[in-house]
Formats: sequence, C-alpha cells, structure tokens
Amino acid sequence: MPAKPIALVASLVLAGAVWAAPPAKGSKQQAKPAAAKTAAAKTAEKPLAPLPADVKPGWSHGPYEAGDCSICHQKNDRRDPGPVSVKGNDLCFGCHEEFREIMGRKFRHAAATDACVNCHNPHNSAERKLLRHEQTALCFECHDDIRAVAQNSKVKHAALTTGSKCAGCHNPHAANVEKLLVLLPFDLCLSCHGQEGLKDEQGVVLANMKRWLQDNKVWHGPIQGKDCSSCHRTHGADHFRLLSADYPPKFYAPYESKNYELCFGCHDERAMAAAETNALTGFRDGKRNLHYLHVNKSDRGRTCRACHEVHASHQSHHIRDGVPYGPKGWILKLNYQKTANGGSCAKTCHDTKTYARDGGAPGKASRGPLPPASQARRP
Amino acid sequence: MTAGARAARWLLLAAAALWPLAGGAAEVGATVEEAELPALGGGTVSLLGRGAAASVVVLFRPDQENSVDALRQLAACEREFAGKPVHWVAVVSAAWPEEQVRSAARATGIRMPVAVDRGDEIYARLGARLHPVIAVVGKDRRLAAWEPYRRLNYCERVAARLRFLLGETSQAEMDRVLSPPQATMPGAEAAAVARRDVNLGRRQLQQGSAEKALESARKALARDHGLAAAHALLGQALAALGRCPEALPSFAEALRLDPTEAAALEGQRACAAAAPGR
Repeated sequence: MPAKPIALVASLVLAGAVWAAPPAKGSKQQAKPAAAKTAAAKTAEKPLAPLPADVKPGWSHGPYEAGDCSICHQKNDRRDPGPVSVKGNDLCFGCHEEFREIMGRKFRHAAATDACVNCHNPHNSAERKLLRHEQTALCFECHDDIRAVAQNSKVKHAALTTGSKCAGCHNPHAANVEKLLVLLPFDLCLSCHGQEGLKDEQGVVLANMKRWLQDNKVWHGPIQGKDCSSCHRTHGADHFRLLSADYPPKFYAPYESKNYELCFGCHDERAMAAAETNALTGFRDGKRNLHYLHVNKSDRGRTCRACHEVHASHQSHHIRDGVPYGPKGWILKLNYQKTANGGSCAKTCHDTKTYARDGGAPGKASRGPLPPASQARRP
Repeated sequence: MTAGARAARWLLLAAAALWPLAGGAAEVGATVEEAELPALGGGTVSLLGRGAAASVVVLFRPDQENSVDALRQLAACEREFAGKPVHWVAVVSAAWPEEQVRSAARATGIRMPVAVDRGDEIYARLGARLHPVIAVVGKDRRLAAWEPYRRLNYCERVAARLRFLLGETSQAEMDRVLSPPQATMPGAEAAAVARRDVNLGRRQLQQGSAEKALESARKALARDHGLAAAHALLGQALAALGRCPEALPSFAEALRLDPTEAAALEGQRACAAAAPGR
C-alpha cells in the first residue's frame, strides 16, 4: 500500500473510532455476585476455543469465519493468535455497539456485565447467537435453583420449554424490570395467554385472558398492578394453575385457613374468622360478618370462587355474574346490587337478602343491569 | 399463638368493632389525618412526618410471606432515601404478639419505626383491605397513591413516587418507571447489523485491510442504505485503496444524510489534500 493512503487510513479511522463507555449510573446487578463468579468459573472450565474441525458449526462469528483473527486478537495467525487486543466486553462493544445502550438499563445480568463470553463463544457454535450451550442448559448452569423448580414441580409451565424458552420472558443482557423481565409480568403473560386455544399440559383449554379482561372491567388488584407473579409461580409450582399456595378448586370446602393460603397472602384472614367486625370487611350487616357467615363452615363452606371472579368481573368486589348449578353447570344469576352502604343478592342461592354496614337500610342500588354475559371462557 | 395472645387479639377485634368505617379504601387525593400511635418498644410515632415532603405508611402482618418480602424490598428503598425528607412508618395490628412483630421487622432489615395499630384504627380509617399495602402521602397530607404488594419492582415503584413528590423527577419520568418500556433483544434489526458491519469495517481499515473494509461497507449498505456512516466507510475504504475519485461521491452522500458525519468530512479533506497538483 502506498504511504499516503496508509496515513489517510490512520486519520480516517481515528476520526471514526468508537470505543468503551462506562456503565450507566444507577444500574443494578440482577444476579448475586456469587452467580457472576460462578459464570466466570464455568467459562474458565470450558475454554472458548473454536469447535473441533470435525464438528460442523451451526453459526460462526463473522471475523472468525473470514479468518480475521486480528480483529480481536493481537496476531492474525489462526494457529497462534495471541491474547485479545482489548480486555473485557469493550472488545465486543467495539462492533456490537447497541449493547452500550442495552447494558445501560437499570437491571443488568451479572454474567453479561462480567463477560459476554460467559454465555457466548466468540468463534463458533452449534447454537444460535453463538451460545456456548443450548439456551436453557446454559441458564441452568448458574441458576440451578430455577432448574430444581422447573424439574421438580408438579405443575410445569410450557413457556420454559417452548418458543424462546428463558428468553421468552427474560432479557439475558439487561432489562427495565426486576428479574430481567422483558416487560411487566402481566404484559408478558398476556403475550401467550391472550390467545385462543392455548392448552395446559393436560390438554385443558386455557382462557383467553386478554379477552376476559377486555370483557370484564373490574380487575383484581394484582392484575391492576400487572403482577401475575403475586399468585402464579412461573417456573413451576405444586398447585394447580401454577398457583403459589393453596386455593380451593371447588365451590364448597370446609373452612380451614390453610385452604386459603393464597388469598390470605394479601387479604386478612380475620375477615373470614371473626363472626363480628366493624373494621375487617365491608361485607357485613352492621357488625355481623357476612364473609364469616358464608365461608366459615365446617362442611359446605362457600369458597372464594363461589362468589368472586379472581381475575376480573363486571361487578364491584369482583362478584361473579352467576353461580353454576346442576350437573350441566347452568349459570344462575346472582344479580348483586351494590349500594352506598351495603348491597343485596337476588334469589339464587337463598332468598333475596340485603345488608347494610350501618345496620340500617342498605340504601339505593348503585348499579344498573349487567352487561351481556361474556362469551369468553371463564379462567 | 398462645391462649393469652389469642384472647388479646379477640379483645382488640372487639375494640375494632366500635370504630366507624366507610365501605372502601381511601381514594387517591383524600386527606389523611395525622395520628400519634404507640411505637413498638415504647413511646409514640407519627403516622405522617411533620415537615416531611412525603410519608410512606406500610401496613403489614408479621406472619405473612408477602409482608416480609415487601419489608425486605422497602429496606433497600429506605437506604436510598436516607437523609431526605421522607417519613417512613410500618403499621401493624396490635392483634399480633409484640415479639413476633419485632422478630419479623428485625429479619427484614427495615429501619423505619413500627407503629402499633390498636383496634385496627388506622386499617379501618384508611379502608385498607389488604396486607401488605403502602399508602404514599404527600406534604399536603393527601393520599398520593396506594401501592399494593408486588413481587417485582415494588421498591422501584415506591421510589419513583417519592422522587416525584420530592420534586426530583417529572411525571413522565415517574410514569416510565411505573410502566417500563420493553427491553427488546438486540441485533435482529437490519439497521443494528449494518452498524455492526461499519464498526467491523473500521477495525479492518485500522489494520490495513482496506479490501475487507470495502466488503464490510458494502454489506452495511445492502442492509441499510440510509446509514451515513456506511457511506463514509465506503469512501474511507476506497480512499485507502487510492481511489479518491470514487470515494468522493460516497463522502458526499454520507454528508447529505448526516452533515456532521466526521469520517466523511475528514475523508473529503484527506482526498483533497492528496489530489494531484496540491
């Protein structure tokens, strides 16, 4: 190359060079330091050499494929490339510049902050994205607690083994939500549970939650808070529907606080256990606690689901439109009417009954007729 | 729970029955009345902080996993706002044995005082139905927000509301924390890959591999023809190969797309300096 163009190249490259930037202020590591150390230790156990010549790689890194060892190493010699020319992730960020912004997000994966090569082979790999191993296996190398949950739970979540697997919900680099979630739990969950025909592992068709929530505007608190994980364990659980604790699956159940562990995780057990109260529940006639009356029975106690829709309903207090009756599950309307000081239920389970918190008349009903019953399958 | 403690609990419940109560939770914007409450371990503690720019009232139960987790998350929040005019108080029903409350609070690492809610007075007054739940109250003593328990981003949410009440952030910044944007996965977009090609080309050029840089520039342009840096790289590579007349239109295109494109400006100058007759 003539001398003049070489000088020209040097000046042009200096003008265009883009290199390291420090991590953003206020960022948080999303794994314990020990986990990062583990990731680094795992990497050290398995050198980052290219795949053996007799193994056909699925994917190759551009510079390696082109024989440009010196893009990353000190020498352009395949047999003896020497050490890398820049230490740490800055070497990678030199080309993969979008990661400077990504790693500036609030919650960062400790393994990624420590070294890209904890998860990626910089030469070639049988896996997409040059992952050192199959994605789930790679994650479980460090996250063995999640592996244990996923493998040992009675109820499995298909999201762990289908689609993008771990990366379907987590961004393995950095995110704006804790646990490196790509979105808030609600938005993530609805991306799958907002479609028709989704089935659980027993083949039971699951409700289209997006449609149910569109049709039923009174949402349970955790749904308003976009926090499905308040009640569901997304990696696996021992309770049906991946619930985090006991919740009676039937209409009737003998009252025992343990049966309602899920609900009592937020709601006050005393609202069911105290026969009289002026503070613990609004569902009372004077001091007479009507939750206690319905639920707290040793034989046919009404479970929460007898009267409430746990995700959303048309009516205040998540009251159901109706209750199932008979072997065919006919829905008998509850016709709940809320008043300023209480409410009433129509003749369905019992004669029409009213209640008033101040012990007087319940006042005027505050709700008109129900909207048409939802066509969506109940969750 | 001992028989004595159980009896005390029911006595307190009976006391609660004497307290008048409206039907639902206090609405955002409602005025929260100040109260002096007995503190765990003696003395009293204010529900709202005198002179505080914001108050955080945490209603919890000592026997409950969610409450304990909430307090743990809030312990980190508390540290973040140390030295700022934020009043923190954890409120627990007097129905719980003192030692159980003390033990739970100690395990979570909170520093805020624990107020004992005799007869569930505060619980009833605020119309709270859940545990744990946080009432965030502004300097004007109006309820700024209810924050029911969340397993994720709980401290983040409370901190965002506090920073807004302290005047440290805007409404838009608070909303961004409350509804965080999607953390997209990188690299699939053609524009991002094109930028990566440009960066690789720059490295190749730096190492004297102008032919390879030329190839990288062409790949980048095939992916994103509107990328000024890719046109500049093409010009740089051509110039490095001694082909300034071909490079100049690339520099010009780069500058048309981005008049501040430094590599193109420098390339134009270098080619002009290298032109015959200069």
